[in-house]
Formats: sequence, structure tokens, C-alpha cells
Amino acid sequence: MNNFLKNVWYVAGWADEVAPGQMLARQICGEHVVLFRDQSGKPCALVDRCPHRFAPLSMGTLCDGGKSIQCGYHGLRFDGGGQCVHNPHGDGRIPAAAVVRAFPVVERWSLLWIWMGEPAKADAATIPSFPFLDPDHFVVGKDKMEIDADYVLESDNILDLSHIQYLHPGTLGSGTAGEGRTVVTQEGNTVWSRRFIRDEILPTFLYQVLGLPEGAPCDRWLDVRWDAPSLMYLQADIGLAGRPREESMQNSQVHLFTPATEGKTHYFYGMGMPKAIGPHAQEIVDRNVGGLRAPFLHEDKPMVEAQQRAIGSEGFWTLKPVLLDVDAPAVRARRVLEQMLAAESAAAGSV
Amino acid sequence: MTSYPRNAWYVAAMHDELPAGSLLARTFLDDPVVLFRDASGAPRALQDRCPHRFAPLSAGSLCDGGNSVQCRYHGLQFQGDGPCSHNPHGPIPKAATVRAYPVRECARLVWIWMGDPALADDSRIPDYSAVTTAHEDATIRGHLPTACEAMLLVDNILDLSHVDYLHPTSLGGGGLHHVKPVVADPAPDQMKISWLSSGETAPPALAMHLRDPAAPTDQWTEVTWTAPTTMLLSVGATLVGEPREDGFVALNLHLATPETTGRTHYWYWSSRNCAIDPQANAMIRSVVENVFRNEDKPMLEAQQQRMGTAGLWDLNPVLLAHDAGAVRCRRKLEAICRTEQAEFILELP
Repeated sequence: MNNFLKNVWYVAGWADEVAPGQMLARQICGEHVVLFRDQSGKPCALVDRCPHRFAPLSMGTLCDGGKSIQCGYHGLRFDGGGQCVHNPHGDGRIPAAAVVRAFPVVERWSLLWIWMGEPAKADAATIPSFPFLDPDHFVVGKDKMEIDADYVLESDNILDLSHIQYLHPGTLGSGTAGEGRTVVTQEGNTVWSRRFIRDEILPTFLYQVLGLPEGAPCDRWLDVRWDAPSLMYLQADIGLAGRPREESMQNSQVHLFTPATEGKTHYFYGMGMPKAIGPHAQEIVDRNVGGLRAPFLHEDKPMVEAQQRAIGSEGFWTLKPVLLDVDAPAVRARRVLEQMLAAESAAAGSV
Repeated sequence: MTSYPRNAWYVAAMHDELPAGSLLARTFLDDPVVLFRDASGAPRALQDRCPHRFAPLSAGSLCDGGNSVQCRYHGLQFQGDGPCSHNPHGPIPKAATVRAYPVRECARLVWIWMGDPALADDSRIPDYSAVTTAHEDATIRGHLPTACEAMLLVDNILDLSHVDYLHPTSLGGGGLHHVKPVVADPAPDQMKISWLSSGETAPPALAMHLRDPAAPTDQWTEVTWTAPTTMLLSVGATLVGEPREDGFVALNLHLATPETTGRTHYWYWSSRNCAIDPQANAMIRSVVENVFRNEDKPMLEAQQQRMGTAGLWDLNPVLLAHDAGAVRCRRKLEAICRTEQAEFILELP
């Protein structure tokens, strides 16, 4: 039994990863899941394993425009709720046990959200808010990456952006990015990390991306909101030094991590800009998201994966990590996650 | 995970996978084995591990025309029945013996006995000579190691209702598999599942070999499983009331030997009494091998992946009516394993 939070919304994918008529097989919290859209376009998620001989349903075919999914081995069909609706063999009787587990799925903020716990507790209102990914009003740039590391190491990474000075000197960081001050606050189970860096000389890459005069001293605000399990909204604003924040170049991002299994993580990141900006908005977000790929792929990913290898199968706390000031937000988020896990296992134990 | 009996004959190789003068390393039931032919040409099998420093003997070389195998690391030599016959460094220590497994070559198949050599009974080797001695131009055969446990392969052959779904463009589409199968127990270690029909014309691929392609036929698909993991599948059609051998008969061996947990050696060996011709054979081979390699194998391996290390029953599979034959085979195999286990426990002091 793995130690992932169950009663929480996980990102299953970007909404456009599951096109009508197509199946997406993805491992989430150790479960093999197949995602598809039913005939009305509503996303569905089933355990990707036929209950007859355990073939992956994702190797089968969608029938009747998504009304059911047919196993590629012996042809049993299941609807989006997991019920077997067709047995082509013998008298066609459907065995009572011919049911696949279905997971609640919600499409919101250009993402598909999946609930791995008790379906009765799935409340879409508890999905954190990312209004800048609302496809009706924003253009959304999006990407994803597979990381061979625990998902919590990834929230550590985003909640402690002092690392950009050291890990991303030529791209996202600068010689003084590590000198900013970080303030951590907690509202319920939500953790905020707010970081302000004054009078920074940015790397050329950022001046180019932002369209600011090269070499000009800048102020930078990096505010991260964390919600369990590892859902982060990053507001990254950069403006000319001494000017108010409202005048800065403002950038709203998401960094969303979903455990595939122990030590493997799906990473979804993206940003949105108001459609009101005009026809160039899509080009801008695509360029910005594209620009993030190189540092994420060649700087963060290798470091986080190497961290995981160095940690091995040890627990994070059993290795007695040295704690620095900058770790306060990440440690706070870890504590909240641990409390939620403890509460969930206590509740499971009391049943 | 499924258990497999050790006191049983398993296929180790097709005859020509083991040419004289070569060492063949293969794992069966988790035991690493080295196979070779001795000076008389008889197959031999030793544990593939020198008792000195545990180097694989298969990395060494054959001496005296096959009468011994020499370890590559320090030069100890072992006879085909296990004892060390040469120590280049001094006298031969008593303990210098390798485990030897009984092996037999019967009708171009090499069989190995993985259990107690004293119990190895040649009469228990299934006779598959009708398939393995057929004409070369009517023979399709190969070795296809597959990352699934052997009983998933057995399920696959015993439940041919899957052909309409997994092989719709090649083997599927026939009406026969909608016929209710008849399950029989010809022997304690065998099961036979038959799909029979009478009065329908044969599908075109079969009908073209009949005297009157448009005439009504008797058709059959019959699988005989012999414990632990070999199957003979007979498929054919003949004009109603006529002997089977006057019609089209294809005999297909499906031979599985567990390799390690979740891995299986699989050999297919098919023959038929028509279309004995190199060109026709090449055409049929490309269809059949495409089905085995690109349809069955990926599905079986994906199934195993989804099952992980759990056994079939641990996962509470939904059972359909046509699974009856395959389920009874599993029950028989489980009984054989239980008996073997009980006998083993009785023997303990």
C-alpha cells in the first residue's frame, strides 16, 4: 500500500491531452488509469485493467463515440462509470462482478482533476482556484515532463526559489536572487511563500523574454501558493527597480505535481494571459512556456532526480536535513501534508 | 504468482537450437542451466554455475567433443552427468560436482526434468511427433520468450474466444468460437477443449484445400493441454462425414516453460497437411508470426504488468462461461503442485 493522500484532487493531465475518441493511459498514485471522454465529451477515468483477465483497457477501443470502452483481449465493454455493458460470449449475461473501478474526474482550469479516494467525498469546490487557466477568458500555455523523483522534492523546489541563483545562473536566476527575503504564511491547509528581491541585475535571457531594457536594475516578486498534494500557483512579477508592483511584468504560472508511483512524478506547468491582450497572447505564453523548458529539463530535473538517488529509499526526515531560513515554506508544506496523511490514515484505521 | 511442479518434463529447446559443439545458457524454473551435446550427440544439462567460484559454465568451452565442459575462469572440467573430471591445479575435490538435470530428445524436441532425477519417467514425455516430424515446407516454428508467467499463455490458447478481438483481421471472424466449447478430462494431467460444428461451409482459407470448397463440412478446433504447460491445438475442416485426414488439418504446438518469475520460454511449432510449398509456407508464416509477436505477446506482457506479482486468484478475476476449461487446467496444475509439495514434506526427516 503506497503512502499517497487519497482524498484530494490530483491533476490527471491537461484537458487537451484527452481528445474525444482517444484513450490516455497514465499511472497516478500507483494506480494504472485510463482516461477518455464519453459521447457527451465528459471525461471519465477507469482502472486500466479489465476485471476478466487483467488486460489494460487502454489497449482496447472506444465504442459508440465514447459510450463504452471495449477490452482488446476478449471484447468486454465498460461504460464511463465502470459498469460492464456488453459481454459478447455465451448467452451474453453480464457477471455481477464485471465492474471496473471508476474515479471521479472534473474538467476545470484547462486541466483534468482526478479523485483517488472515496468517491462520496469528492467535492469539486475543493479544487484550488487557478482563474488564469480558465480557457474562456485566458490563453493558456502548457507543458509537461516526467520526473524520476518523489513529488514532494518538487514542491520543495518551487517553494524555495532561492535556488534560482545557484541552479539557474544563466536563465532564471541572477547573482543576487538568493538574497531576497521570504515570508511564509498559512491559511488553513494552504501555505504561501512570498519572496521579494530588490535591485537585481537579471540574466540576459529574462530581459529578452520580458522585453525590459538589458542591464536595468529590477525588483522581483515571487509569490507561491501551495495546496496539497503538490499544487502550486506562482505569481512571478518583475519590474524596474523602485517602481510599484502594479507596473511590473506580471506572470501567473502553475507548477502541478502528481505522483505516478513511488519515486516517479508527472509535472504539469503552464501559464495564462488574458485573451484581452489580443491575438499575440498565445504566441507570448507559448514563447514563455517554451523558454522555461530548457532550465526545467536541463537544470531542475537532473538536480531533483540526483537528489532522489542520493536520498535513496530513506525518509527525508530520517536523514536529518540541515534547515535554512529559506526552507520555511517547504517545511511548512511538508508538515501540512504529513498532518493530512496522518489524519487520513487515522480515519481509515477507525473504520 | 503461480507455482509450477518440478517433477515434470519441460521443453528446453528445439533440436536445432542446440547444435553439436555449442553451449546454450537458458533459465528454467529459476535455475540457470547450460545445455550442450556430448560426444554421442545426446543432449546434456548442467546447472550453469561452477561449484568453485560460481562462474557460469556457459561462458566456458566444450572439451573432448562434448564429453566435458571447461570453466572459463579456473579451468575445472565437468562431465555431462556432473562430476569434475579434471582439475588443472591438483587433485579433484570430492565436492566438485555440478547438478545434472535429466534431458531427453524426443522427435526433435529437447525435454528437461527439473525435479528429482530418480523420478524422471520417460513415458511421461508427450508424443508430439505428428507435428515435429512434418514436412519442412508445412512447418512454422520459433522460440519467443515472453515477459509473462506461463499460465497466462495457457489461458490464451485455451480460451480462443479472444481471436475475434485480438486478431480481428487474421484469425478472428470465424463462427466456430461462438459455439459452446466442450470440456473433457482425457487423463489426470490433461484437459481437452473442443469447439465443433457440422453442416456449415468452411471459411475460405480452409475451404480452398477441400475437394468441394462449397460443400458442407465438419469443423473442429481442439486444444489438448498436458500438464504442466504444453498444448496441442488441432484446427481443421473436412466434408461432412469424411475422415478428418481427408480434409484440411493444422496441428499447432504451443509449448511454454517457466523461465523466472513473470517470464516464460514459448515455442510455437505448427504443421499442416496441405499447402506444402515453400512460398505458401512463407506467406502463412508471416501472418502467424505477426499475430504471435505483435498481437498476443504485447497483450500477454501488458496483462502481466497490470497483475504485477499477484496470482490470478489474488485479484478475483471475473469469470465468464467460456473460461471453464482454462480454470479447470489451473485447478489441475494447483493440485499437482500441492501433491508434489505434500510428498516433499513427507520425505523430510
